[in-house]
Amino acid sequence: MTEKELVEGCIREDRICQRELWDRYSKKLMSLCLRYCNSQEEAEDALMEAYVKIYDNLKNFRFQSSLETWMRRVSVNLCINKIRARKHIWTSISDDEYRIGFKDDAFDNLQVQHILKMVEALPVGYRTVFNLYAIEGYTHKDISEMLGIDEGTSRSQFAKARKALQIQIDKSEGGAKA
Amino acid sequence: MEENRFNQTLRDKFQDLESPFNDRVTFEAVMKKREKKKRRVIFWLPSVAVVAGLFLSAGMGYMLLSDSKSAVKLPQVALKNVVVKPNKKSFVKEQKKKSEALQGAGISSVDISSNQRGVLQSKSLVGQSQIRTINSLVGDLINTDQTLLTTPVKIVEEGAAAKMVEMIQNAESQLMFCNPRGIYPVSIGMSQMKEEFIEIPEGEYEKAWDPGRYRSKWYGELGASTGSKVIVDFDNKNELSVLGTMYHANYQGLILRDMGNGIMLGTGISYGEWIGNGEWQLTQTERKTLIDSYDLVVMIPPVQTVRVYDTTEVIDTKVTTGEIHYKIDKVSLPLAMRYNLMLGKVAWRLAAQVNPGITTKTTGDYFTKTEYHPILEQRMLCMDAKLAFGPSFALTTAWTLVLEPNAMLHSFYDKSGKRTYSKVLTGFGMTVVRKF
Repeated sequence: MTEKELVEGCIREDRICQRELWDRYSKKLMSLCLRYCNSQEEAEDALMEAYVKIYDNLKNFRFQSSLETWMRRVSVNLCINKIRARKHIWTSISDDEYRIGFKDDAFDNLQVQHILKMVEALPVGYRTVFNLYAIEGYTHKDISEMLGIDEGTSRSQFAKARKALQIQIDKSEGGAKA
Repeated sequence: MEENRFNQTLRDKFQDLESPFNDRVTFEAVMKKREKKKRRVIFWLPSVAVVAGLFLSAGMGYMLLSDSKSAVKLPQVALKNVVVKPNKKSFVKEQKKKSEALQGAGISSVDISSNQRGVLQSKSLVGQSQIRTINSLVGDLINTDQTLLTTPVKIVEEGAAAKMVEMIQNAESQLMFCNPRGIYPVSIGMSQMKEEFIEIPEGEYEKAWDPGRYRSKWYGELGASTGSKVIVDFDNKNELSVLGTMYHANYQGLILRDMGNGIMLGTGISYGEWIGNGEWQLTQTERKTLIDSYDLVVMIPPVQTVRVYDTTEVIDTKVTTGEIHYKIDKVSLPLAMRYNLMLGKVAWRLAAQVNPGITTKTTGDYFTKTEYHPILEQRMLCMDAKLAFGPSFALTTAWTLVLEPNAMLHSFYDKSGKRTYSKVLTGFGMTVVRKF
């Protein structure tokens, strides 16, 4: 079934197409939700809510990007809204501080699952900005608009996330060498 | 600044990652959630629309009342604005006969048509008590002598008639009446008066004039009510226990007839939704007997072994919980009774009705405190009953708004289980009544 047929079927409320959409993308979106949420349960709830939103709004999908990209965006927005609703306090740091970062090849020797675990262990603010910037590819300007924070705050959150991750990587490599 | 963003390969790897989830997260669960969301919208939209409509009509009513005409809120007079045109031939004959009889009895008569002229042009407000008197006099006069309904008008200058003439003279240029051809019984309310010409057949005019027969006794009613019932806690005494919230929305349209003495009877059509969301708990206890044994060696020759058995009884409790929902849509034909009364200065209305009907859609599992079962039948007989008591406010002479705290019994006969289930939900309703 092509993407177009799938979308049209879902708009028609065709159960087979709706199930196919679930089977095809639910696990990927679960992975995405896990990166933003604090727990498995919260991520599962977010996934279900995201799918409800997706089914309800598929008629607005204009085929300007791939279906998966659109679904990811809907899910990210939903997770972001949840984070915003929790009224997380975002802190800024000085310019000097956020120049500290990890080396470009820092992740080369690590498995994706391993990195994911490290990312999940980050505090919510760092994690959210890190996910949006490093993985989803949003700019700091976009992130500042999405989260309702300053661009500088977004940068500083990202810098803190990098620093925290670097410490984790160093520990991990130290442990491996030992 | 693009520093330290993951390279595309790593990002792709991240985005292709798949994570498993628990059994509760299924496609069916998502669809159920979606259905629930839709249902919430379906449930609330009509309710909001009806309530908004009622508030709007209430607001408009008060706006109408707040204009200058409402400075004196007078009671609605039952008479319509009727001009009676009697049959001339028989009238002249009758008139002559009565005039002779009066003169024979030594009673003088006066032509008041001149007194009535010119007053019609100006209308202003007079006191409520004055108008009441005038109207009662009009009634007296009409009943006293049919000649008042004629042109030219001759009335007996005695008693009530004389009083009325005096009052008209005093109230000159104030309000009302007079027409060279007859008398206008007027409607003293806030509604605009309309003329209605009635040709009375020959001989008919002699009948006592009953203004009541021109008054409509029919009313239309539109109402919406909601209510709920909550089971707060599990009943731990029972193996199976259910808690939850039930709520209903009910919309109805009725035609009512005024039967006199404030009582109205009527019927119409009603649509209702009855929804329950809850949680069940199954507490299973199992008695287990644990037998532990050990051997004691008796060291006195000859060496012997004694086996000792320790028996312990353990009660193992297992609690399982789950969610439960049901929805029943129904259409019914209400048989309604209304009783209108005044308590102090406020008008109140007692409403009672029974709604025999049929369910149109049933889904989910119906639950009581201690059991639940799926509702399999789509068409089941149902019987609802409503009791409401609340204040009513006249918005205009035709429209009335009634606020009704109510208790509503919902019941249906489950064909498959051959049982009748019922629940009483309490809530609030709003009704508008239109007089035809």
